[in-house]
Amino acid sequence: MHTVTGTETHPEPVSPPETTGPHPPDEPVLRVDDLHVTFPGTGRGGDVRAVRGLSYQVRRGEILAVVGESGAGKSAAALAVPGLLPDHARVSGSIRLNGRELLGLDERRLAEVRGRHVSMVFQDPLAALTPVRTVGSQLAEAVRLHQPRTTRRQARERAVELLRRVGIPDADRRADAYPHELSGGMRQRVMIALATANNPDVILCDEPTTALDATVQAQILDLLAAVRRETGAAIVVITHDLGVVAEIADRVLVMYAGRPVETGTVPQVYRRPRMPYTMGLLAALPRADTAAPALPAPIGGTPPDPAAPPPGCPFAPRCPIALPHCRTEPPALLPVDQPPAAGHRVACHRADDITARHWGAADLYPSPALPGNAAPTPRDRRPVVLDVDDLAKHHPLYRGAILRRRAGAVRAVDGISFDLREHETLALVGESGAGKSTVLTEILELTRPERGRITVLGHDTGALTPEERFALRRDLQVVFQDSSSALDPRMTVAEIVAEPLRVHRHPRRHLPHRVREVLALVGLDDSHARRRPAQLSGGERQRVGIARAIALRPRLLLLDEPVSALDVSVRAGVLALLADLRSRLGLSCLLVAHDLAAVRHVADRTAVMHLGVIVEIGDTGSVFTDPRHPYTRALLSAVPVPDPDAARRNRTVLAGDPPDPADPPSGCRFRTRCPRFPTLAETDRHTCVTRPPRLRPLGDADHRVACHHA
Amino acid sequence: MPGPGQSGGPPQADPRLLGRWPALLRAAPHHPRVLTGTALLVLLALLAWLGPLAAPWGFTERDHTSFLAPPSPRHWFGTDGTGRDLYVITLVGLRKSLVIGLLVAVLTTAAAAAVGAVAGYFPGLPDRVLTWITDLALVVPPLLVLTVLFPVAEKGGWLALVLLLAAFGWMVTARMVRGAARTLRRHEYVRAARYLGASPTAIIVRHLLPNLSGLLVADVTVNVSAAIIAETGLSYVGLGVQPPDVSLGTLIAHGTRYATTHPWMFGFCTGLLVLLVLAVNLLGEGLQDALAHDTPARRA
Repeated sequence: MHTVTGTETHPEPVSPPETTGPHPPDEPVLRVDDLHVTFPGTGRGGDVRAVRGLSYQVRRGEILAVVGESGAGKSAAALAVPGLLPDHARVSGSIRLNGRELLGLDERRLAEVRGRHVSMVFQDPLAALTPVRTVGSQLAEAVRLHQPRTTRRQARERAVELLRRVGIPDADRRADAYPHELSGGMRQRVMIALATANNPDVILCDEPTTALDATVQAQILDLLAAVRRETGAAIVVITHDLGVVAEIADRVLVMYAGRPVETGTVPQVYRRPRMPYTMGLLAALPRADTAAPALPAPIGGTPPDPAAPPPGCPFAPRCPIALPHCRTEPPALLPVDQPPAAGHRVACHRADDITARHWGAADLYPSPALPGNAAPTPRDRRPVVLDVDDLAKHHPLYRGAILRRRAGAVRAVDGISFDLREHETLALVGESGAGKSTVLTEILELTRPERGRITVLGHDTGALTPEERFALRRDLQVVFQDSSSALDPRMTVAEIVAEPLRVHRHPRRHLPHRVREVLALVGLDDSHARRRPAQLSGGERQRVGIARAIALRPRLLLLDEPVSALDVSVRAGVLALLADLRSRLGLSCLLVAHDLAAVRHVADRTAVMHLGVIVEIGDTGSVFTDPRHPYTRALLSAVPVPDPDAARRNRTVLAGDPPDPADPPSGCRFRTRCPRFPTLAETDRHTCVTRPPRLRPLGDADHRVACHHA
Repeated sequence: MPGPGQSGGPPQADPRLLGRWPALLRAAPHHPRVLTGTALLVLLALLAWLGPLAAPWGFTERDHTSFLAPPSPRHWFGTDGTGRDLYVITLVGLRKSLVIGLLVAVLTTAAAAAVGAVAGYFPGLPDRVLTWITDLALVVPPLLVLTVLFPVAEKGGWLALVLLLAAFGWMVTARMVRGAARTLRRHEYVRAARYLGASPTAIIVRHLLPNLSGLLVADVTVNVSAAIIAETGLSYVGLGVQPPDVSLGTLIAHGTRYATTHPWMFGFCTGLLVLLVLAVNLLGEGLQDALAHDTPARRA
């Protein structure tokens, strides 16, 4: 089958690769057949069957995306290729690289293959690079390992050349940097340089951009596309992000519970998914680019236990159109359409029905109705619940081991002002280091800030007595990002939810009843109450975190990245829950997020932060549809869109990294990365360099922007 | 606020709320190691207090017909160089060691936990003061303290001995607890509790200590045998258990010389110490297991 139809969306054809392998150019470079990976169970637990019958192939110059949620087995499948699975894992099937079987090779032979023919890019480059050696020497080592005759000098030159190729400015100097001296994006570039050092045939990327900010992610995706173009390597990208897939992949393989459930070219799968799971994933994805007032649709239930996968279709228990025999007979991966469309295959008993009846994602997963906020009181007539005025927080930086002296400060938050009205959700968005979380922490401390003023529900935090502060805590609650570290691992769910009630001296005999009531509000029941956080799924844990936060019936809820650690299919469910609770309990929310897509669906107003200041604030609709600040535009354009037609559009990819918050540029802090700045006239540029822009209103609308030239 | 729990859906029981520590320890009594360890400790205690009653010899009685005699129906554990019945004096020694060992171990760990948790939770002045005291206690030679405290300790009897032993053993663990508490402090669940309005004491008792319980239980376990041995050291300088009074420690110290020639002088007291330590270890391991039942399979 010919599968590289995805090239039609790429203006430049895949360059004919210089064939190094002994195989004809048409053959796939990597061919995986019926791969099974099993981790033997420990003690009471059964064997964990991570991968159950996976087959795929990639050709030169092709990008295949393997998509799935956590626990789908995608990482195990990838690690099996270079033989990097732990020794106790049982692997069967066949992995052929250029026609040569890799399974069963001994460690020495595999070591020759790794790096030279197959290389990997990991999610966390800080963990994947040796911290005590410079990146240049690590690169040089990679070169010399496989080309032992290279001299040190040549290897060093090659290392610098590789760094230059992956777009690291000032590569000669950067080669002498240690990994921790580089930013996350730079480190990931080094990882890619390392992976391409020996011009491998296949590059496996395991969540290459998950740990990165949106603007840096866009750079890395561009780089991967360039690597494919220049080296002609086949690239397998493992990701959970359907947006990333649409941006760069030619073909996609959807995995669920260790099995491939749908595969095809990106346009085939995105335009007409045939597997209810794929449809669910697409429906559950928040979109930053559509003005949909509706929330993304969640997929109910949780993925099956990999130690005891169901006998039939693994998705049947969560599938909205499952038939009785779906639960007993596993479906085979069969071509769709008559005559079969090239390469599009799906494992679903109901694929023919889906094709025949033209079912789309919206038919299977109706979007949850947004709770009625029918006639809201106009904003200016609602009381202000949170008022932040010129807030600043500088973290001092110290130098010297013995005589520690202050050497400047990280200006995490540098004079921001906003207010939050009753029943309103304000989102603070921005990249990491923008100071969003510091704002939350400053509010939660309920003490006098370093500079400026915070007023919570009419109380100035600088003038609170300890008793007043304690009383105010009842009305101000927080939900944290990482649900696993936000819950005490040694407490049962019931105890966790009871804790705020105990702290605020609720009568003992009412406790159990109230705990059940609160758990029911977030969709959990008695069986969850007895469990501990480790026995819950990510989505359930986040629900417990929310339950703890609403137990005291607060009026103001602060949310710190509430869904960013969750899988796509549960993320939508938690977003819907938050929206529901907000209207039911009359909450006002301050939401901190880097995920602009999620923000668009839940926030009434949005404030964009950059390096400790707000650059744009206003009604969510106008900020998203009519962004005025070049940074907002770049952020929005960097968000991957799960639509192959829209994805390969003209994106504004910001160059470089965000500036050092300890030493921000003078005047406008964005000018060093601003795409508009270089196009301005000399006098206008002078304004940007010398005068920090203030937020100024645009017309009558609720929309203010801090740019001299907006 | 609407409460769906009351109106719709199948009726459900309210969850049982046991409280922080009871919930934590609920599983402990059912753990086989906890059961075995406790049973063994109780047996040892029974033996120590009731055992001597079964023997025809008294504690101060001497059998002038047998010196350094091997075990026999007349002297079950044999006799020592002065004709004392080893069965009786070993069990009396066990009494002392049980009390000293367990008490010192628990006190040492409690002091370490208190100092470490407070220092770790409050950065700034409390941390600096407590860390300074800890470091000072680490570097001051015990002998110096002994010389200063000798008059007090001599009068205080075994209680003073216990306090003194505990005072020498808490520092290293306190530093470990401080480090662990500093890490835990940054965890979001501790921050969440703080933002709920929980007091520092509540946070330390409800969140820090339970999550350090593995470390603390292990520390108690190790401290039991350490305290029993350390007590012999004190008796050299004239503190602690003085003749004619005995403890397992002094018996072992005394019996070591005879270990090869008259093994009963050494074997029985050492054997009992091993049993005691084994019981404490079993109990400790069991507790650790029971406390960690939430963490997924720690053993491969």
